[in-house]
Parts: sequence; C-alpha cells; structure tokens
Amino acid sequence: MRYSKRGLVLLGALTVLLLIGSIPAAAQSGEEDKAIGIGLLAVGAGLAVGLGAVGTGIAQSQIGPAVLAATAEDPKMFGKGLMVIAIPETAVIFGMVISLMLMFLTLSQI
Amino acid sequence: MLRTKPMVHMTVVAPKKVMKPVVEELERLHLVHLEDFKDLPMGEPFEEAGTLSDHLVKVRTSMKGLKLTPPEGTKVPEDEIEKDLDSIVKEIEVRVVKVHEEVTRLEAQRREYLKKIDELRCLEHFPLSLEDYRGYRTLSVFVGSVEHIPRIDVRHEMFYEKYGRGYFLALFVEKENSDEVAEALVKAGFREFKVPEGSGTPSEMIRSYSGQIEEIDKRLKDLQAELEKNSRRYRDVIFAAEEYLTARVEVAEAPLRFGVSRHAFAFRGWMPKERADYVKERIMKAARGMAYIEFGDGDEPPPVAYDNPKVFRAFQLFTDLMGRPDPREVDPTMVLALGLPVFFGFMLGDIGYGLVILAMLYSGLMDRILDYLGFTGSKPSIKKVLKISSYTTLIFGFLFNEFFGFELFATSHASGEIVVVLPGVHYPEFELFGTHFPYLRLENVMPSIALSLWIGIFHMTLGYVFGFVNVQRTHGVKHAVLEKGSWLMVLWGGVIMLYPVTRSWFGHEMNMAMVWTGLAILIAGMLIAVKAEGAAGILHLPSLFSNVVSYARLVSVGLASVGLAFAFNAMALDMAEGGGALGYLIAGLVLAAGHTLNTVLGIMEPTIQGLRLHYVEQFMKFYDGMGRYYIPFGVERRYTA
Repeated sequence: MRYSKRGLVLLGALTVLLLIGSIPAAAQSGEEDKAIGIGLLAVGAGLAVGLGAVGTGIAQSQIGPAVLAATAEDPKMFGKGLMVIAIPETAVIFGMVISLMLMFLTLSQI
Repeated sequence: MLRTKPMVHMTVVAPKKVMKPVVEELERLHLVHLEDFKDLPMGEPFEEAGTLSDHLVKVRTSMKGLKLTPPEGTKVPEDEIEKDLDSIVKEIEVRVVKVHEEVTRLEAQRREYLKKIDELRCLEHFPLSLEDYRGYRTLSVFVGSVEHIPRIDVRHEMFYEKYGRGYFLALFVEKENSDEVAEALVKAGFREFKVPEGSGTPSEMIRSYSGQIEEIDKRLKDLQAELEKNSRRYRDVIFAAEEYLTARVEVAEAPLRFGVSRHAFAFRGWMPKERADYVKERIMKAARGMAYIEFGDGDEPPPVAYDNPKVFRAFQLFTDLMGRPDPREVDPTMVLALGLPVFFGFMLGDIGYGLVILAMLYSGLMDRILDYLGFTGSKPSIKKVLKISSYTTLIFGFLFNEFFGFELFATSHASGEIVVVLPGVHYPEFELFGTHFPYLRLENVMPSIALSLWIGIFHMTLGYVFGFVNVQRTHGVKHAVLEKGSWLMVLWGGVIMLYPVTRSWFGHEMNMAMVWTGLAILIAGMLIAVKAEGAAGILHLPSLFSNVVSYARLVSVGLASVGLAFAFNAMALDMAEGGGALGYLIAGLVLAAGHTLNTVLGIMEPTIQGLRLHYVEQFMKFYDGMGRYYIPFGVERRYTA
C-alpha cells in the first residue's frame, strides 16, 4: 500500500508548528507557564492516542482483508482471525492509557 | 460445566438381516456419532436410496426457489408423510416446483424482451426497417455509437441521432471503401451495435414486444399469486417432507459407513456415556437380541459434545468460533457466559441503550437485522446473549446513573454540567466496597482504569489456572508447573512489584519490601519459564504486560460511548436553546441520528471488544480448541411428529 508522502510531511509539519507556535509566547509569568504546560500536555495526550490509532489502522487495514478472505474459505478461522486483527490494537491501547494518564494523573497534579 | 460430556466408544456386530431395523433405530435415537468402519468391505446403500434422493432433490429445489421461512410450532405427523410420500412429492412438484419453474422461465423471457426493446429504441428514429440493414452485395453497413460525427470523404448515406454524450449512427458505404471508413469511425470512438434480427420497422417490433411483455406480466401475476397461495398451503408439508426424506436418505446410505461381510455387518460410533445403557438396550431390541455390542475407549479421541446448563448454552456459539474444546480440555463456555455480559454491561453501562436493545429484541427488529446480516442460523443464540447483556447494561447503567449520556436520577453530587432526566426522583445513593454509588464514569477515570486492570489480572489468572489444569490432564503436574505455573508467578510477581509503585503516584509511600518480594517472584517465575520454553520465553514478558494493559479498553470503550452521547446531547441542547421551532427540529434530528449511531456502536463495540478480551487475553493462555464436533447420526425432528 502507498501512502501520500506529502500528506505525512504536512501532518508532521503542522504538529511541529503547533508545538513551536505555542512556546515563544511563554516564559513570561508562572501562571502562563502553567497554562502552556497544560496545553502541551493536552496536545501530547491527543498525539499519543491519535498516532497510536493511525499505526493500528495501517496495520489492521492489511490484516483485515486477509482475515476476511481466510474466514470466507473456512468460517472456523473467525476466532483466530479476530485474534490476529487484535494484535496491533496494543499500539492504540497503550497510547490511550498514556493519554488518560496525562489527562487525569499528571494534569491533576499540576 | 467446565468439562465436556464424557463419551464412550461402541462397536456393534449383528447379522445382516437385522441391518435395516438397527439403522432405523439408530436414526430415531439420534445419539450415536458414527465412524467409518474400515476393517471390513464397505456396505451398499439400501435399494430405496436412489428414489428417496430424487424426492429429496425435488423438495429441496422447491424450498430453495421459494425462499420459504420455516414454520414455527406446527408439526406434521410422520406417518402421514410416510403413507402418502409419492403423492405428496408429486403434488409439491406440480403445484410448487413446476409453477416456480414457469415463473422463472417467464421472468427470463421478459428480461430478454426488455433488452430487445432497449436495442430497438436506438434504431427507432431512423426511417428504415430492420431488413434494410442487411443483405447487400455491394454495400457495407456500420451501425453503432460514436463520440462525434466522423468526416467521411467517400460516397455514403448516413443517419444519426443524439445518443448520450455522442451520437448513434447508421452508415452505408460502398464495400471497397469500407476499410477507410472503418478507420475514420474508430477514430471517432465507434462502438458497434448488433442490429436485432427480424423484419418490419423498429417501432412496430417495439409495439409487438411490449404487447408480449404485457401478456407475460398478466400471466406472471396469476402464477405468482398461485405460487404464493401454494407455498403458504404447502409450507408445513414441504419442511416436514424435507426433514423426513433427509432422515430416510441418511438411513438408506448408512451402510456405506458400515463394514459388511457375507452374513453380518458391523459399525462403530461414539455416544455420551450416560446414554450407553439405553442405546445398547434399544439396539438389542431392534436386532431381536442378535447383536454383539462392546464398549471401550476407542483408538482416536472422541468427538466432543458440550455439557452446559441451559442458561450458558447460547454462549457455546462463541466457544465454537475458537473451535470445539478437545475432550481433555476445560470447556471455557461458562467463563464466556459470565464474562461477556459483565464486560458488555460495564462498557455500555447506560439504562437508555439497555432499554433500546431490549426493545429491538422484543419488537422483532433484531431478528430482521440478524437475518439481513446473514446470521439466520445462529440467531437464537445471538439474541439470547444480547438479552442477557442488555440486562447487565441496565444494572451497570443504574450503578453509573446514565441515560443516553444524561444523568437519570437527581443526586447530591449534581455538578450542573450534565442534564438530569428525572430531577424529581432521587438516586438511592449508597456505599459499597468503599465506593460511592452512583459511580460517575467521567469523573472517576483513573480508578476505573485501575479497576479494569484488576479485572484483567484476575481474568488472566483464571486463564492460567485453566491452562494449568489442561497441561496437568495431558502431561502431568510437573509440566503444568513449568508451562503455566511459571507465568502465573511472573504475572503475580509483576502485580506485587508494581502495585506499590502505582500507589506512590497518588502520594502513598512506596513499600519497598513488596517491590523486592514481587521482583523475586517474577524472576523465579521467569527462570522456570526459560527452563521450560528456552530463552525465547523472555519474549513473552512484554506481551504479558500488554495483555494486562489491554483490559483498559473496558474503560475506554465505555468512555467513548458516554463521550459520544454527551457530545450529541450538548449539540442538541445548544440548538434547542437558540433556534426556536427549527432549532427544536434540528435538535431532535441530531439526537435521533446521534443516538442511533451510538446504539449501533454500543452493540458492536462491547461485543467485539468483550470477545477479544476473552479470545486473545484469556483463551491464549489455555485454549487449543482442536476438538471434533459430535454429530449424532439421524435428524433432529423439528417439523415432523
């Protein structure tokens, strides 16, 4: 499968811009520092789950059709297929846990 | 429950003259799973096998063509069918199969005429008869569509009409110029059209075909009415006849699985141990006492039949998706039956959605959806599972005080952010296991995650315990300790080690003694695992960790469902507040569409994720599912009595 390189670069550039753009305005008062910190945490939480989901999606987009084909040939493959489809989900689940920890654990301690 | 039915192997030898009554008895018993008998030459089918198969094909054809829905509740007495079998099959053939064939034939003819009319319409505007397009010695005729009108420099006659984006043309040129013209046409994107056979003008022919189609329609209407009437009338008989014939054909072909000598026959099979005496008695009776029956353990592993209480049976469907348990394996159906609805309820946990699923089940809407999705065979099981799951959804919904993302009852907690549906009714707040109920999921994310991980740890522990039992049954205790006990130690060592660490994040002091004890248990377990599986065993350690974390999906799917419902509600409320009548209308539409989407997700996601947690995180620890299905000889009677 081919992915649009330009799209990926654009996505990366936007993320970096977003991160950099939020920094220079900072470092004036402690209150603002904190606000920026919270903002960056939120961006991090979003990236953790979002990028994890993209990775899982790419992997599953290739496993899915193979499993469907196998199940069409032998319905008994369904359970095993589900297991194989489930493997890349680890990425997004880890991302989600990190994201929730950032949001609810770290944020509450700031 | 956790074990499958104990089976016993049976070998029967009896004189040939009692073969038929014995086979008929076997069929009626519907208890013996026959195995092919390979020690003697194979027997021959009974002589009626051919006729019965013919009948069966006819009856099945009628069923297939008519797409009949099976009757519920009505049963036709078997002797009635047996007595009039020939006339019943004849009647079904004449009244149903033949009529259906005629309908199919007429429909095909109708399609053909319609196609011809379509073709003729292209030529309708040219002032030519069909015979004008063919039969020339000196002329070439080109008929077809082009993208634009080509320039033809030789002598020619051309008719054309606008056709789609291009033109439809009929071009007559002298034969010697045909190559040159063909080239010009190709450049114009020419696609040849085959002029239909026949004579007269296209309009006349269209009229004639239309007339014929009208006649066919009339005839089809009559036939379809007749077919519908007959299929209603004969439905019960058709299903009963099919069942009866299937059973008879099985009987007639059974000798193919037997061993036969000059005067005797023999067969082998499996049956549940508890029915062995009964089966023996019945076979003896059918053989008029002239049979030798021996019970034993057989050479191959027996086929597997479940042995679960009625409430758990619907969940066998999901065990079968992973494969039948091996005879010596733990049957995990009970764990699925308890775990799946609890996981489902925990994830969806909303009184509103629980009620919607129940309504879908009781209104028959779910039947239609399942039929549409092609789950007709497993429909009863799926419905039962959904029903149990919707009850757990209601229970968790009450514990979470959720109703379509709103809060249902008034609580002392009232944050003011979330709308309360019944502000007049107060929630009977209570404390249980140190937790305050209602338990608001959106405000207790970290405790929920902790809870989900604990659920995971116990769920996986159960998996290892089953694994231990399985290995112990097949290879003894030592192997069980090496293979499964080791990982149980690793899991719990990790838990004991990490528990104080996670608590320290919340300001508790870290208990170092626990950390070291946990680490020691983990390392000991790891060493045993490495001894059993080699160094590659270490590679499983990260996957064990990710397995535990994977249970966090119990919370995340739940949060996603609350979050979505909450978002739709907020959108609708904003619109209703600001927009007058139109605002209310749009708010209503947003609510309807949003919650419909959330209901669909709310049924699919918890089912799939719940199953996955069982299949991947738990079953992988103990389950092979390589057992054979127990398929008793004979036909279960559903439509005959």
